[in-house]
Amino acid sequence: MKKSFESSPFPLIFVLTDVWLILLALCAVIWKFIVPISTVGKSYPVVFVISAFKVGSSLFFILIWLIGWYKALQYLLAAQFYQSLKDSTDDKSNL
Amino acid sequence: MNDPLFILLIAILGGIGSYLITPQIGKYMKKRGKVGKDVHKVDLPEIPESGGIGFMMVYLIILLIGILSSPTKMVRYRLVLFLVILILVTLVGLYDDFRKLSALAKPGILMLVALPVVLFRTVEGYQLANPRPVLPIVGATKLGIVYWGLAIFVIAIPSNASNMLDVMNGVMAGSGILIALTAFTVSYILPLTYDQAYLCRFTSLTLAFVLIGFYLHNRYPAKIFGGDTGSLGVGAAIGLIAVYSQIEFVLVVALLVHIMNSFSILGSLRGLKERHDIKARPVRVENGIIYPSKEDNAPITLVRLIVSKNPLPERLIIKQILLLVFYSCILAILTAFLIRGEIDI
Repeated sequence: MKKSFESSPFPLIFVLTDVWLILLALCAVIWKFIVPISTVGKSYPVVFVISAFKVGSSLFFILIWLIGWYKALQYLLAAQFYQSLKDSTDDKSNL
Repeated sequence: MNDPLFILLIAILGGIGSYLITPQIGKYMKKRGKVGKDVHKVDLPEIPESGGIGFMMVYLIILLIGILSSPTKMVRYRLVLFLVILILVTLVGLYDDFRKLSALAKPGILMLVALPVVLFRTVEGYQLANPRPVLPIVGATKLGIVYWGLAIFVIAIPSNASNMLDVMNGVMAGSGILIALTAFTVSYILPLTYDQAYLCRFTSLTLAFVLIGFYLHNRYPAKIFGGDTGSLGVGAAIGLIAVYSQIEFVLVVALLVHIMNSFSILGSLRGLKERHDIKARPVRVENGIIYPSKEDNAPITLVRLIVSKNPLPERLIIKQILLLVFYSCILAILTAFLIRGEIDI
């Protein structure tokens, strides 16, 4: 008899949706707090420091996003393993 | 001839060319002994490798036709750079296929290959790459020097991401088709300039069709593997479409699954590692069924994540990966709608 397999991509679709929404939220944060910082009328060294701050803080947000993403995947992996172990224990106890 | 008709005609011819040349490449590789075991099958069949050479050759010829028939100087200059960079990437892929590059050398060389994007950003007064990527909500950004700093990764990141996801039959080609068609669709959603839209449509639709020609031989059960020539070439083409059509953010979203796979592998291995340095495999195969590794030090790959709850046969894993890529492409199209109106022409 051909064995049937249970397959569902939903946990990963959930992670992808979250990652996308957080990415959009990051855009909103950058637009609200970083874009308005003006360099008009400032001396060159000050413009340089402000620009470096703007880019640096945006990169910092992106780094946080990537780390959060990685942690979510680690959590998902652990949760799925736990679930599969639990399912196999339940199957054995039902026998 | 009308632009869309011309592009479609070239794309169909490219698809037919790719479909016809791929088995010939397969025969040649088999004769040379360039074969690899398909480890996810029960009988471990030997499959010809480096089949990507076929569709990359067809794609490079198409780009040459594009240069000769380009409607404006701007499109011509961009296509020339596109072609030169892709030739270099194909050579890197060929070298990697036949001689092997180290885990660190490959991205390093691909960063050097991207240098023409930065060096030839302006030619005869034409701004070939625009350092103003458009983000949703934020609008057009002025990144200046930061953009050129990031531009050297435009080949290395998508190429390596495409290479890292090329683990099962038809995944690289299938995901490449979906992303190329997304870029094509997005060119009708965003208010791109004529040059950007033409280049985007020409390069993405022809890429999708040459990949379809290859996919018909590479899909499960594969008769040929793409090799690094194919996966690096497809990734590089996607990166170049993003830069020269100014749709960087949209294609980053379309590549989310690739980024997720690469980032989780690199994160779990704590950096780039040689294959022989990786002690634990992410999955194991028993009678054609793929089981996840339960070792802590095994890399976290997309396939390991997919089978972590239920072991699955290869066929279903491929279906899930392509479904995820399709979903990220839908998110990319939604992102394009969010960006719409933010581009100043």
